[in-house]
Amino acid sequence: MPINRREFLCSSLLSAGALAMPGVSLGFAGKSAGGGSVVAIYLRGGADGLNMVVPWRDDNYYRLRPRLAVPRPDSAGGVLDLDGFFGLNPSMLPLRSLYTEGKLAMVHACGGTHGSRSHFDAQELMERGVNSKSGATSGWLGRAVETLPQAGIDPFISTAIGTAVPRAFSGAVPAVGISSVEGFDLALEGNALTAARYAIAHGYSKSSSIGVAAMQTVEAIDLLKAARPTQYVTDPTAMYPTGTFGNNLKQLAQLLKADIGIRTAGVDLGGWDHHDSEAGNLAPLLSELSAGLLALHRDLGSLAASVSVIVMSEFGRRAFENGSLGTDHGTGNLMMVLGGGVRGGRVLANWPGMADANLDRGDLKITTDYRQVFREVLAKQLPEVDLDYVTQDYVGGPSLGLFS
Amino acid sequence: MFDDLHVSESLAVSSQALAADAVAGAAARSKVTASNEALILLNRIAPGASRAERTRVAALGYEAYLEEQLNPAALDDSALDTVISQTLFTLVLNRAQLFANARANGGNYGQIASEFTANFLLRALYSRRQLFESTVGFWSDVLNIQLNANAQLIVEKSLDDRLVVRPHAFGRFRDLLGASAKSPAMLIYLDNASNGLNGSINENYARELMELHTLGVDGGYSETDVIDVARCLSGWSLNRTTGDFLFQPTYHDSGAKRVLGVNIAAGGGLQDGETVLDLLASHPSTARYIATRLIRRFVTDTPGSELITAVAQAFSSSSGDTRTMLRAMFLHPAVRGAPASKFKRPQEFTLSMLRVLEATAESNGFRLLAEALRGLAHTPFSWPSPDGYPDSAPYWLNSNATLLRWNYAINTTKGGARGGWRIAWTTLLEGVTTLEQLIPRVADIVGIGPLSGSALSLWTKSALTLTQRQQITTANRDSTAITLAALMLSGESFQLR
Repeated sequence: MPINRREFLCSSLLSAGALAMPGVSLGFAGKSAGGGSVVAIYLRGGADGLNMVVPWRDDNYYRLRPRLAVPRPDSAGGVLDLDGFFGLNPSMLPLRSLYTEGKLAMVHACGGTHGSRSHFDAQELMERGVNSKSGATSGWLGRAVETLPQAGIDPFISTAIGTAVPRAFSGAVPAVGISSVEGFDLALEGNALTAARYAIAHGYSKSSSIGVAAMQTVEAIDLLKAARPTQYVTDPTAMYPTGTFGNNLKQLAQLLKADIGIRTAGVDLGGWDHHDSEAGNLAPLLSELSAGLLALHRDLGSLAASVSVIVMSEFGRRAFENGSLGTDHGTGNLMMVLGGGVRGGRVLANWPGMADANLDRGDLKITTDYRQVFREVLAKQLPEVDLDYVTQDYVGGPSLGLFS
Repeated sequence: MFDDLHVSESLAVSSQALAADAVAGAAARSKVTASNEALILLNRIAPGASRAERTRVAALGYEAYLEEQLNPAALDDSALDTVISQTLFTLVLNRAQLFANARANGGNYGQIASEFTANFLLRALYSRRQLFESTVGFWSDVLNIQLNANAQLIVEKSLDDRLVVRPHAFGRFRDLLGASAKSPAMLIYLDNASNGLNGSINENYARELMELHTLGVDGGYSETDVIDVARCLSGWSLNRTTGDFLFQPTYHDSGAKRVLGVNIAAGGGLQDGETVLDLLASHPSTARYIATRLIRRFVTDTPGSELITAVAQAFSSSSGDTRTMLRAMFLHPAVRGAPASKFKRPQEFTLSMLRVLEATAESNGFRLLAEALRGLAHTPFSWPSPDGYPDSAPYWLNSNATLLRWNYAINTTKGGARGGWRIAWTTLLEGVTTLEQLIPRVADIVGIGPLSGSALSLWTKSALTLTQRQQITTANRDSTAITLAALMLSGESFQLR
């Protein structure tokens, strides 16, 4: 790392009061030399990709899901046709315009070939970007950020919006976590604030994870005071859904507009484990997800051209419905890539088919490793990154052509 | 939680009486000699004990304190029980009465959720049976049921806590597992209630039963085992009228099964599930899995294999007796000789702060606590996936959580309506007239004393910054102590237990 901003900042906290003063530019948050940002949206619980981008031309889909299938186009509640083979769940209507505008690409029958149907193992492996537990223990985004020139300099280079920092960000350069951009400050003033800044700067071990988080927190406070992201108002065409997810995306847009050096960011949306009554439970989540993605894209305006959003989940669900009008844990799944110059308007899939003989123990087969999507998006937005270091035991396969 | 001001206000009155009772009880039994290892144990079992309790436990010693905590029935919690029974009315209602209560409140389950959660927090704050309460928390993570997943679960989880977790928390694992498998809350949360409906299995409970409740993900089961366990448990369902457990033979797959290499003959009916639970509860992988989780909950995120083996051995040799495991764990040299190294989860952080400050709730105290826990993503019984709140520092430790912890300490130590909790600073600081007295006193109150030379220097410089290099006066003594306490509570050592 070029200079250790963290040590510099901590050692100067007491003497250089200006650093702590609002409105004083730190002059650190550098614009990166080219390249954009990657936003990872994780749908926790195993989202049912087969009922999101529906293979309505595959009759086996209807055979396996007699009560849970989304009807064919032109039927009541039918899918919105995308390409004559796949169709969009009608609850994802907000995404249709992005798809037809060529801003949104779908990748289907995608996933990790480790074979685990455990939520926790599958999330862990996917976020580490590896295929076995003995692989690298850092996260794929953590490894991606680690090698960027601004790592350790721009505190927001890696930013998780929400109460926790997802596993994908773990590594030598920990991500900033932030749940509320507004009011991200110590509730102290005057001498008490000065004393607190002194105690924070000198009271923590420099090497412990508690100490590192403390320093990072101070950096984030100072940088936000200087950058004032709340000055960037939401674009009036961006209708974020109410709730935490929409609010997190809205704040992400503010931070991206504030140009504080974000190269990777993450937002989670949970609640996708639909073992029963799936139709009724999935619809509102799909609406929330879709409205959120559309709003973020609209809100970012011209910035959207350099921000790629990847939507992923740990696994798909079994091809066949279960006895509870739900689906159990499966494998092959959908990924989506939005914005950042993606060649959208296409469903990219080497479709394995859903005849019994083509299923993998009752699940949709995986024909594309999820890391192929990671690699193509990283190559576009973080061209400085060593892809083989990030995806470890996956060296890349045939190009999906996500970007030209 | 606690959106109903009335509940928060009632709890305020309760907590005042209880704090006094807890301190008096501790002081009455205290003796003099100090014991560092006993204090480390105390902080593992009951983070944030008052100064009087610390003195008492130091005098009592390591083994005696452990044995005391392993026999909760002998510890008098009657004052707490009385307050709870006078304040939280829904805790004694049965299923029908709980649903009637919600109907009477216009379909609002808020009172039930709020009182159930309040019971947990009140006991965590004021019970003398701290190890029992922590163990209830442990099993509530292992057998996680998300309280607010739906309205029905608010009722069923509160019943599950009363009828499954608490009665078996200090008992045998097979009994706990069996009660959980038949608990309507678990049957609903992990969908086994509809397993076998329409002639198709639902794998959800079967998979999580092995992965999260017994064997662990690498415990040696296959995908075929998942399916056959689900078949064995098909029909373990609910009586649609009473809501109680009921075996529904028409949902049950009566064919032959094979689980973990054991053949289960066709036609076993309800017994198939019992056989599966027997196999799982007595499996060596379960012993290691439960032992590992127990150590991770109480001692360290990264237990060594020797310690795991010792605790797993205690599990196996006692037919899964929780107290035998706890005793083996706390008496093991790898635990007894180790300093505090476990990062407090948000509940432990906030509650231990309130406990060292001997705080009593103002009318908004519990509401502010609930708000802080929501911000820190640790609202009781609200983890959204079946694995339970993580015992992994990296999950809880980041800049967002750090700032929220700092500000909770800053606001709470101020006391009064703003902090939400009354703190008797005048009593706590009795006899303090100089800065030289103030610093060690505050460190002692928050439990990070005695201070090393470098720590004393740090806090002296911080205090001098606060007073602009002046000696304290009667006018600024308490305010200086309040800020200093907030900084110490934000400091590294208070984050560990």
